Amino acid sequence: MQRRTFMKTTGALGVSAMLARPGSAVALIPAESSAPDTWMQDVVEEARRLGAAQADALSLSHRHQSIQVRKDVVHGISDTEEDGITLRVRVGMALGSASVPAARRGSPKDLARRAVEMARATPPSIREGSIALDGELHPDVHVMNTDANGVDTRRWSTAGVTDPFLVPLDERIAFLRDLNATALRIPQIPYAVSNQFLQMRTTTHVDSRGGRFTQQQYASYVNFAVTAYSAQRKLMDTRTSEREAQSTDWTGATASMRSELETAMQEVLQLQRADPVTPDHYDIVVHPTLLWNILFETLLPHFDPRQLTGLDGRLPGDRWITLAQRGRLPLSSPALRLRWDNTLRGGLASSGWDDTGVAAAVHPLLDGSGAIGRIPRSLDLLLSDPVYGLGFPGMTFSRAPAWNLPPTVAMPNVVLEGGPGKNLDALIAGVDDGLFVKGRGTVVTNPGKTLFRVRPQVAWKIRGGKIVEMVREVEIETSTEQFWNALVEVGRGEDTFLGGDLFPRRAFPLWETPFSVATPPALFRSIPTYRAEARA
Amino acid sequence: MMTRHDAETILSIAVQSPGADELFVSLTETEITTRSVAGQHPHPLHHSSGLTLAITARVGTRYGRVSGNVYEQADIRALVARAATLAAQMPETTEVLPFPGAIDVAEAATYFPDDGGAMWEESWRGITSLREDPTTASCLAFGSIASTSTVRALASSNGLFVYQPSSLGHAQFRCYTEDGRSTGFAERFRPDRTVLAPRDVLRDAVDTCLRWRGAKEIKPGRITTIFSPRALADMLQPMLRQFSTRAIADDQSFLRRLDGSSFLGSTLFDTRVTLRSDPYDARVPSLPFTADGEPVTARHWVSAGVIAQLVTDRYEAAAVNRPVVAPPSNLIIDVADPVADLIADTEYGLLLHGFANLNILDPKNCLLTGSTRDGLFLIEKGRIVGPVRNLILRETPVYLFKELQAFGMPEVVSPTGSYFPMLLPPMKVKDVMYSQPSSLI
Repeated sequence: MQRRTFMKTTGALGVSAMLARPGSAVALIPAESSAPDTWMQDVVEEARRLGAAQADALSLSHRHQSIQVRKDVVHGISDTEEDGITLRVRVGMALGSASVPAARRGSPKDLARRAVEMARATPPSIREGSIALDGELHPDVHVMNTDANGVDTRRWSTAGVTDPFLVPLDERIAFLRDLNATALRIPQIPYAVSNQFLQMRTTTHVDSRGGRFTQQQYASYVNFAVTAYSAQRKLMDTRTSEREAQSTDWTGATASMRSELETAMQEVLQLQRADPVTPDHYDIVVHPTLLWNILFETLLPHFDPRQLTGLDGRLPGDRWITLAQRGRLPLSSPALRLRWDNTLRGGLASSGWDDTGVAAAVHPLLDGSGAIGRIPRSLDLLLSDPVYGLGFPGMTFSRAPAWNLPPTVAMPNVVLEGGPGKNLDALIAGVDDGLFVKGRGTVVTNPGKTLFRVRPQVAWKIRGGKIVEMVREVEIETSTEQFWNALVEVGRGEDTFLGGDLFPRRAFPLWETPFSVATPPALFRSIPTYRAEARA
Repeated sequence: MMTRHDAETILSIAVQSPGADELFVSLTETEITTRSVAGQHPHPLHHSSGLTLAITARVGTRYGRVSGNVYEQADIRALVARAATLAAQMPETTEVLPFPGAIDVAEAATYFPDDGGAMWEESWRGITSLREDPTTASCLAFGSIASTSTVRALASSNGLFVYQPSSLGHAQFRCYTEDGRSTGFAERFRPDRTVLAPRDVLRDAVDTCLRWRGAKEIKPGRITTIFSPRALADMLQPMLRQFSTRAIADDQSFLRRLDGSSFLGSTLFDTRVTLRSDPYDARVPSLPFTADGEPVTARHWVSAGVIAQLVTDRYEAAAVNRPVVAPPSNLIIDVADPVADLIADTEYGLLLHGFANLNILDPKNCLLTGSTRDGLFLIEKGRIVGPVRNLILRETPVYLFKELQAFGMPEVVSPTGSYFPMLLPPMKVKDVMYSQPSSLI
């Protein structure tokens, strides 16, 4: 088609589209344009009419925007917004699901028919034991909180948070530019970069048992990195901000950013003058800005539900922790007490309910006795989940990774329980000869996540219970088992820091929905420590 | 599936929206049905229909890009306005080229309307038989099957409009023995979903897994090797990216001479080697335009061993005043006299099915390294004598095409894990370099 022809044709079509009306040849407006809530109710009822024993519909709207400013230049802005509806049905003992974009949802009958077709083409494979005699799913699998009339019309949103997208774009860019400009005023800091990530996730759930709720979650994450260079010593060091992604708004994400920048600038300049660490086994106090990341990268992958149940597609025999050893894990530190917590304020996985209507809950993961408390599970894992065969207690938590995917098992927030009242100074006071390390560093692991290496951003020597000097080039290399068994004391709960990854898909196993990891500071005994540069 | 007419309607609204000096819009509509399999348990079927509009707006010398799954006129215009707003915040660029205008592109035969519905039943029967057969009952199978219909359409405010529907069936399975000491992998892509046969793909993965049990160690070194078409596809993909004037200018190509010029017109390979591409070839139909809106036409990249063509992108073409040459969207090696049995006259060698990973060690000669995986077998005196432990390959595809001994019968394949249709033969090459043993299962 020649350009002029196309312009002529499309121009005409464009005009006709603007005037689109029912029955016209160009129907840009979907045939069914009822309000989404009503439409979702209709699609659930239609699925029931078509033979579904159960049905639930989830509408998910997701917006993401990221900005990067390098020095004073906007390097990139990405902006995506998508929304759609997924209907999940159970027909007999088989599940099926189908998704449509919200803007093209069409008739409820079409989506219902498609989802039921999917279930009918799936062999019946939900385990018998997971279905109660009355045909409803086991209460532990699917619990709706309904009111006295059996209808739930609840709403939930991130507490005390305003929509960060309402802050004008130029205002947010100006903030990032200002952070960089502040750092670049120091001659020894030639490079600064700052980023902003905003996310909004809005869901509405309607199910065939009268359940209905709407949730809105925001995540805001502002970070920076400042790089110092010493021409004299030919050293380059980088220090990043400490605050991690949280379920918060623009004000919450930026509140401490300027003071963090001041600290980072001082520390990176101090680091340039520091001497390298002497390799040895040290008692180490780990600041929570680093500890959450070590927990996230080294220990939590072993508690991923798919990995525990052998459904992750990895080589058999390649798993350090299996369900068979759930009562006698190779983790013996009584201080290692972890809990799942989807009620955590600011947590990226915190919500009123999961995407299937199960209320947010708190459950033990590890209680210090070397036994697993509960692990996350979901309806789709019922198909093959050996957890059920073992009668092992689970914690239902499902989230949809995207608008066009059904809810599936997800990682809840994880909290390392605080100890009996020691603050950071008191933990340091308990070390005679050791290190204090902080700042998220790159954690390098072997494929099995049983060995790891991490370089903290900054480290100080501790002598006689006091911090005496900064040291550089600290690298911790040990096994996951040795490291966590060396945990002797966790700081007080009040000093808990909220870490978390907004893009956990980078990790392995593939965690597709964000969750937070909260830790206080902690003391580890006799950790092998090396000098990074010397080992390179 | 969205018709050409509907795609034109949506795109025309977008490209005629106010607020930008120029607009380039990409529309992708996808209908996909998927099933995954984990540890022999099939997961529920899921069907999804999606629509994505990606809008690039130029305002002066600044560009902004947004995407969304909007469909209605007001939402499309709002998305365009947002792209223009973002553009205003971006830095000015020195490389401003107008978005492409109208091009004349015929649709390629990439769409087969039958969605291959029978494959779901067939795949379930395949998994059931895997569980019930005592020889395979202990194998763990992981994988997925997908049936996809896609419409891709592009338009610009300069008059570009192209539209291409396509379909694709994809099945891939990895199998392990229960003791974790052997594995097998198989993958197949077919635009015609009625011939995907996922059960056969599963069977191939299981067979390789069972045949590789008890693999013995051999010494690495230079060993004559028969590359399966999939292994060859994995090695050719990075090489194809080096057929580019930009890669040559950046010193990232084996086609760069020491003086900075290219080997265009030089004989670098065995004269039996001809590499060509043609989106309209019915055996490997592919997209007839690029994501930038450039037409993809039939090309010879290597002709009887001679380097015959290089990709020239829009910016490079404008700088040197040459026509744009779009990268290929498929790859074909025609074989005049295929050898029916490459193993029969092999005195000592390896049959190589695939790789765990391949990384470029040195782009200047396209030197690749990575561990073999998913079936490495020893050939002695014209027959396969047994499985051998994996080895680390350290070789360049340039060498393969120089030292090839024979081609087999070409078949349709794609590089592992991604769809790029290729018609490639198995290929026997003498003295392929393996640098060390690999402990990989």
